[in-house]
Amino acid sequence: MTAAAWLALFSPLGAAVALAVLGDRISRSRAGLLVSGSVLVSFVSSAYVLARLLSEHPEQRSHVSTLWTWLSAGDLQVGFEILVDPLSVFMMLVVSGVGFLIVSYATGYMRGDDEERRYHAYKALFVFSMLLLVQSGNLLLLLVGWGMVGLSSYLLINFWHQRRSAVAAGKKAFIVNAFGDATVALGLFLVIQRVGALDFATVFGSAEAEIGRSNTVAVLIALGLLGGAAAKSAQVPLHTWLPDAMEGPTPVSALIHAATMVTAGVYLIARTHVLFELAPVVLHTAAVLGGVTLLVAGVIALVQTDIKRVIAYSTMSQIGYMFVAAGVGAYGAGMFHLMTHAFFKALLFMAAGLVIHALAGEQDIRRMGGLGRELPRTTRAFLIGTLALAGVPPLAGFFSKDEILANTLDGGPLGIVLFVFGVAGAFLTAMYSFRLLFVVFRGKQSEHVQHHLHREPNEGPLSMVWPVGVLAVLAVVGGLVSVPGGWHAVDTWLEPVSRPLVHPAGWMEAFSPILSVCVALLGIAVAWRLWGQASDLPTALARRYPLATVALERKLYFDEVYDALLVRPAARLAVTLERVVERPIVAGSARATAGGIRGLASRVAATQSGLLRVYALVVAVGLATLVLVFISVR
Amino acid sequence: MLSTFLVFLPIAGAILVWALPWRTPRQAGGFALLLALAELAIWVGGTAGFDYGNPGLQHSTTAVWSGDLGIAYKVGLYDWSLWLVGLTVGVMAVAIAYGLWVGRERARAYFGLMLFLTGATVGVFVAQDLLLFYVFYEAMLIPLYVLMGVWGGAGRALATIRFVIYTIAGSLLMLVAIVALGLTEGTFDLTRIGTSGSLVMFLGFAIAFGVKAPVWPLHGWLPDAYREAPPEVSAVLSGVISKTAAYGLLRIAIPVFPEPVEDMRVAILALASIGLVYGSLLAFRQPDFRGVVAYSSLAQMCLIVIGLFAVNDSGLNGALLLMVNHGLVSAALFLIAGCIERRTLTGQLARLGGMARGRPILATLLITTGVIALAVPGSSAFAAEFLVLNGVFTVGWGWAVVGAIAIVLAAMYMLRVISAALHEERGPAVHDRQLDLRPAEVGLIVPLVAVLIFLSFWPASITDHSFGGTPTATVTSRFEAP
Repeated sequence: MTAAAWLALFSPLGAAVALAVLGDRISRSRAGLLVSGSVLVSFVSSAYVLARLLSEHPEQRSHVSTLWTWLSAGDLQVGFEILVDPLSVFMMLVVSGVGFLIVSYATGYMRGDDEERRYHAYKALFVFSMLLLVQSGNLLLLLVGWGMVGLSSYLLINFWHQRRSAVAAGKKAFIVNAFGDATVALGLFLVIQRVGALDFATVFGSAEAEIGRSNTVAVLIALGLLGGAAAKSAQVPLHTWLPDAMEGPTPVSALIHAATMVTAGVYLIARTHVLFELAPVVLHTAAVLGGVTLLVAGVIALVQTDIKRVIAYSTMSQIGYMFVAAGVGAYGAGMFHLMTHAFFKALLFMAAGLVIHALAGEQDIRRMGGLGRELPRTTRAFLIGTLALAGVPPLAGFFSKDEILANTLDGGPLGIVLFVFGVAGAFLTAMYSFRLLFVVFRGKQSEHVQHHLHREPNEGPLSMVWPVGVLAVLAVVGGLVSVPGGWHAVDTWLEPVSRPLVHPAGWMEAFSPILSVCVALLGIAVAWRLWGQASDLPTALARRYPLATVALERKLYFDEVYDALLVRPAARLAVTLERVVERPIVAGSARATAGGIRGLASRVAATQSGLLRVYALVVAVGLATLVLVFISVR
Repeated sequence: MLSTFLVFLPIAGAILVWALPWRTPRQAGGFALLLALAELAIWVGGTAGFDYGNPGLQHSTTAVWSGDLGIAYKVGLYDWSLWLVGLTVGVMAVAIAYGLWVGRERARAYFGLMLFLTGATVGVFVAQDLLLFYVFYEAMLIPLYVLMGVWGGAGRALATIRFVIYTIAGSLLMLVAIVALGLTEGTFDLTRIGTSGSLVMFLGFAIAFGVKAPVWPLHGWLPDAYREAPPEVSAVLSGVISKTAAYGLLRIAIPVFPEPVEDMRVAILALASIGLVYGSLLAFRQPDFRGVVAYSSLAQMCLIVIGLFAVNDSGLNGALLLMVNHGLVSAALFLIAGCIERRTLTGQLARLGGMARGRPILATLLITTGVIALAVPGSSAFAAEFLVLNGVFTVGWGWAVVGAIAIVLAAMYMLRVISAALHEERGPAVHDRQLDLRPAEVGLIVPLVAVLIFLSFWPASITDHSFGGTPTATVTSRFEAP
């Protein structure tokens, strides 16, 4: 079984290495096939591992396999090891399954790009890194996967590297995530100091005894992990990189910045929940961050005009829900939403990709409109994704979001507050998602559409259309694995790894879906009133509240604040150091140099007057005196 | 015999290069490269028979010069110094090959000096007698002065003089400390010398090595030296020569002076932490490729010092791994800088840009080396820095926090240099005619990167095979075999 898991891990790496070595000796289409084939191998292997785990007793579903010692220092030994258990298999299936669909889609999307092979190689590297992250059997290797998904994300965001904005976006994403990596590393140092090991079994087994509950150390460890989780999952205040990351090709946004990598923070909390539970205050902080993010991102999404940025803010908001779930201890609910979100958000991005494809690269929704008649299939796919996102039953998002809301109700006073946040978020979600749908596909066609729309049979190459179809089906039925009042397959499956802290009562499971569906319908109605028909209400509103509008359009000034508080002071410090410290040091040595040359000159002069021996004697005596000083001074 | 052979094979080769009447410069260079490769092959052979569980001296040779004064020719290898010798012979072979590829003028002098430098540097790493150590240390510096002063760039004169002044000042200080230590201890034999509590002697060594590393604020010679030396000499200087300083701290200063180390630890960690952040911030400001690599070297050397002065398993192992790693990274980066300068005739970042387009090999190698340099998790540099910071974390968590901040800064300056060279619009100095890396250049840089990737997959190949598996105990017992 672990052999299959290793195969799943290394198959995409093999494809990436092959592409790097072969260069242009492999044709572009074969390169795409190689990568999607390798990811399919990962998926099939993961499915096999799942089947084998299913045949075991729930409490025995945990297998560690170590290939070699990766790093060592005295007693600290960190293996290159994987852990196969319900949680890792769950993630492997999501990553390789959705990954396979998106990589296949990308073979069509990237066709004709000059550097198609490089793109596919990076994508394979990403899938490997992501699988390493979720399969790792210890905290350090998890951090390795964690950093490498960040690296592949960087490489893919600035894939079109002639664009200044893409390069800047890639750097920003990398640096924010490097900050997250650093806080995780600091947390690991504390774990090493207390526990002396990094493998999950030892750390979780002895955490309570060695670290203790709710003390400073426990809080700092959890905070370190949370820093990484918030950076990777783009939670306030470390979220500013994600909207900019939309500079990457659309399949990248679908895979990395929606379905898999950005949800890694939720996985991290679920995986290390033992450490978080030792510091409940940090766990609650995670929930609050999630609650704030889901509202902030939902509000900003209302005014954004780039189709991909709207979906990006939506992603932040949905991950906010997952953080809320994980923060109240409903790990299964969070993972469930992670899965359904992967389906419908990848679907939305890929449908958006079809739109962008049809409009020759246009992403500004103000220049779209009336596409529903022209792209009926795309419209249907987008509609399914939007309905699932808005939480309309019986689509996938309805079940997973309501499981989160029901769970928060059991989370005490904080849970009630988060429930209110979540319901408000459901309203916003319905509103911004239907705004996008209405503005892009309804109304009258803009001039841009009339001039630039190029029609293709099937609205895109087959390689792009079929993955969208599969995802559309998953977005419809994917929620049925867990039904309120009925069964909770995800929760049950993950129970041996991450036992939930909350257990919603029957009335909670009944109350929250009814309320949230009402709210979602209200949001759709408001969106219809504002954007569903020709109306000057939106502009009137913007004119009525200019400050709020500008603040939202400027994304609540987070970038400006970071610029003023961190970027510019650091640059100023560097300039000051250069002027006040560095130049004097280097110039000081220049003065010494001048003195040295003068000394040399006088020495040459002294040679001529026969004083060389005297000079040598002076140096020797000087040194000897110094030796005596060194010996005598203690 | 292995240690002696590794020292004198290249020195004998140097004499042959100087003495024999070579018909063409290429012949002399080819002979030098052949010898360098033979040296590398001998080293590889030496790793096979090494006893890694034994922290004591191996492959040693002793010939007594003066029994009364306790002066002897004594050389040998430890399982950890073996890796530094490997770094030396590997990087030197690549540097000599680079010199051959670009066709350095006055070939006999040049290649002879490079071979001599190889032997002397290996000598520093194997010498087990303080005076012998000093002889090799000086012998290593002299060819560097000439290589920098004769084959360097336009500003080489001032750069060389500055380098000479700094290093001679450091060397004299070390000589005084060596003589004082040898006389008080009654022997210059490093394997038999006792511990000393003398703060001044410790400072003599620490400052001498601090200049050579360099550690802030003793780095005044660094920016110009790394900019003006020929690229392959910069590669050697920052990749290998700087490691002799770290080696000196590890082999002499830390084990022989336990009490002064304890007393001065906070001060040294403070200076190194300042240098780490300072170097990172200045690297971000540099207008040229080599300037960035130069200041990043300052930062990395400070990080190595931090690991060493943690004096625990994690810090020592991390520092050693980082020495090897930084040696390979900065050698590769300086050679890539050289390849870029040969094409565009400039290293000014403002005049570069857009080089990735049509040059996939250059782009791949620069990005790979760059992300390893910035210690992306999963790279060997990450493994090393993780151990270093974990080591110093137990000394004081504040040091690790500063180190973590500096690693974020490293991401900023490395990504800046990668993008400034490769991405965005084409710079004024970049044209379509400038070729991608030629096969010869690929053959030079790829081995360095390949070793880095190997180490990224298996950093324990070094940490598991050093200090007999017990770094702290081995270092504090002054490397005596149990």
